[in-house]
Amino acid sequence: MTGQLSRRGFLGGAAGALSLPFLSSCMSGAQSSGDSDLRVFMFLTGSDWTAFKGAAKAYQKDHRDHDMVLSHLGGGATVYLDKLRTQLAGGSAPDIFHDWGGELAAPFIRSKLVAPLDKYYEQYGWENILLSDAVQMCSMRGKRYGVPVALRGLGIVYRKDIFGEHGLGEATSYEELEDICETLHSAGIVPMAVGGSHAWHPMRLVQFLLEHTAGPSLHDDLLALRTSWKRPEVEECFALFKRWVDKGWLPNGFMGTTYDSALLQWFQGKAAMFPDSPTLEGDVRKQGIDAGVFVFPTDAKPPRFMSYVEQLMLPVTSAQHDVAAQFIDWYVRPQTQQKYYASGTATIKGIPEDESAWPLTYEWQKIKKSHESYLILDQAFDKELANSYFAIQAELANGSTTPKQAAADMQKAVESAAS
Amino acid sequence: MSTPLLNTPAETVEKRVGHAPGTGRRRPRAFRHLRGYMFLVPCLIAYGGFLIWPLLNSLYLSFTDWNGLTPRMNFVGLANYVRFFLYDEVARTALLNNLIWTVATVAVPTAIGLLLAVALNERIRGRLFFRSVFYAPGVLPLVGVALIWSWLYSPDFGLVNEFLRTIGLHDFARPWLGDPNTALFAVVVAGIWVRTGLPMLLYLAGLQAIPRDRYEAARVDGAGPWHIFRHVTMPGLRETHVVVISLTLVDALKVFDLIYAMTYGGPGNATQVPATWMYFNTFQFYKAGYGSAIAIIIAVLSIAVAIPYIMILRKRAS
Repeated sequence: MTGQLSRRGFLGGAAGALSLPFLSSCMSGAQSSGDSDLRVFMFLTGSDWTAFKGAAKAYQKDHRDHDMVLSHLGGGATVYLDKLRTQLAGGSAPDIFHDWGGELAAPFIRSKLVAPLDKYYEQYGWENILLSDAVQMCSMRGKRYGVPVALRGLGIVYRKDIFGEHGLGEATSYEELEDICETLHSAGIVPMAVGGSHAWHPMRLVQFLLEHTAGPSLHDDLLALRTSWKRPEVEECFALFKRWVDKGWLPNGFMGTTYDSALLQWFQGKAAMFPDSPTLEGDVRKQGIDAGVFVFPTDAKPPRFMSYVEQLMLPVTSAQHDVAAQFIDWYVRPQTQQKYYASGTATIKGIPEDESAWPLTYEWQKIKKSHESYLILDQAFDKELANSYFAIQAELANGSTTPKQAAADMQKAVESAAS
Repeated sequence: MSTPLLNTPAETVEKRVGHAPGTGRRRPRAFRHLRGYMFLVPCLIAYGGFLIWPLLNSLYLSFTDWNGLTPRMNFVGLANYVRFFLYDEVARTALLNNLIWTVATVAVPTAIGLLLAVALNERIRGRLFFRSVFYAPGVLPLVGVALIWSWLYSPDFGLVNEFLRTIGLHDFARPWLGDPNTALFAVVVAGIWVRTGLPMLLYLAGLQAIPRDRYEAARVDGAGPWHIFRHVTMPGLRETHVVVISLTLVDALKVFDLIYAMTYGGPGNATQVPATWMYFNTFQFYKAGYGSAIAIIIAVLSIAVAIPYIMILRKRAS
């Protein structure tokens, strides 16, 4: 050992260092999963994820030919879709992936990254067991690209303890809801907790208000961009949203806080209502909170609630379509759903409702029978238009635009997106 | 005694291969340098593969309407660049925000870093401790920094508003990240906090290199602290200024992480900068062609701003 670096040694070392990343990537690729593995990627978290893992484990017991490799990522659509997109476009797609409906899944379908499932719908007769509304929300251009596994309705989840303390009951009209907000605000409680740093949470409130001011038919036309947004009903909706902000019915500085902060505020009893789905039930139970749920009262006829779908999809590149479809078929069967679906927002016909286990969900199932539904805005709009809407919503919240101008700007954004 | 193979004088090499200058057959000029180039090959491959090729690829993509998902793309010429400079209102906001960010996060951390370095270069008690404390934010992951500052700015229970309320400045308490008038500046403060450590460290290294006898001579000549700082310290740090300014400048021009994690470009698009807008277009709106054009614009801006400045400073320093 001379301590001197030889030319050959230097070049060999450099070549080795250079080839190391390539070798390691090849090796890690080979080790990540076997060819016969069934890789599943979900955005479920909390009790829903635990329940899904339980279902997969039970399925494995009877189906040992394929190892199920489960992974999940929380954090909402932004984070999850980033990773999913990389997997799909980067050639390492899972065999089954979870996605939302509408425009959140549409880019993948339009890019031909998702396999149509009509063949399996016929083979397994899924039309007979799945709710037709939910299946419709998983279809595009006449083909069924996903199997709906949740049809989530969004309402107002409220704290019964706070409502009881102030002698309040569930609102049945918009006027009553405003009275409730006023009472709570006077008592120093934030009426409605929302976190707007990613904008989609306060969007729910604005859309409730749009249903109230525009009514079902016009609301649907606005979402489908069949009519102009520059109209009095939209201006009225935006004015009402501003009223909620100015009256202090939303948390101070909510546009800079996250959904999680808002939820924490509600868990801590600093806020009384939270616009969300009864799927929150698992966490509500864990926190020991006595909660109830009601539909945001819009006074609209017919009465409707906001909803969105979650689906299981298969990437075109997977070689495991048959195996994946077999698992999905097992998973969406009523007996499986009844046993393993945590928050009971399943899309299966005829699941018995268990009031004692899932009271919020039970309540919501009753609501679903008497209400129609409408699609949530960020699944109705493509992401760029949704972002333009979010910017207008933020300007409204901070008072840098007027409701009239906001409606005009929204129409301008729609026209710009169309061009 | 063996002859070292590396760092061998050219004359020795000529003797070893048996061709004394002017006495025998000489190799062609290009071939004589081949060995030297061979040493560069690994680095050139890495540089070409990981920097030049992606850059050229991005440049090509910027002339297309690629959506980032499929292999299909159409050539659209300069349309993406025209859109950025003429029609995209958010792009204008992003450029202005980046200018504000750059000025603030270059000037302030550099000035504070210099002052701290001068102070901590003196023989004071606990100077190692203070050096570590002031440098510590620089080693934290930026997402962690974003989380810390987001909590500090929390409208209801954040330390900033609590402090303002405690000292009676209730009217100054506000939703720092939720108000478009304050959001960018709130993130800038976090940016300054995290970026002060590196200039301090570099200036400390620069100060160590200034010969002590210059200070002694200045004192003997009756110079006060300000004159010593102006006429001894500052000229002695010319090389360090080049390093500090160039590093912070390039860092500021490509800012992404803090803004992404603290405001997500909001509220609305109030805190967008070109890098976050590039991310939104490429990964959220599936407009990878346009996103690539923004990436190229960021690269060109960084080069256009940083290189002349560095060259001027280098010239002065030499």
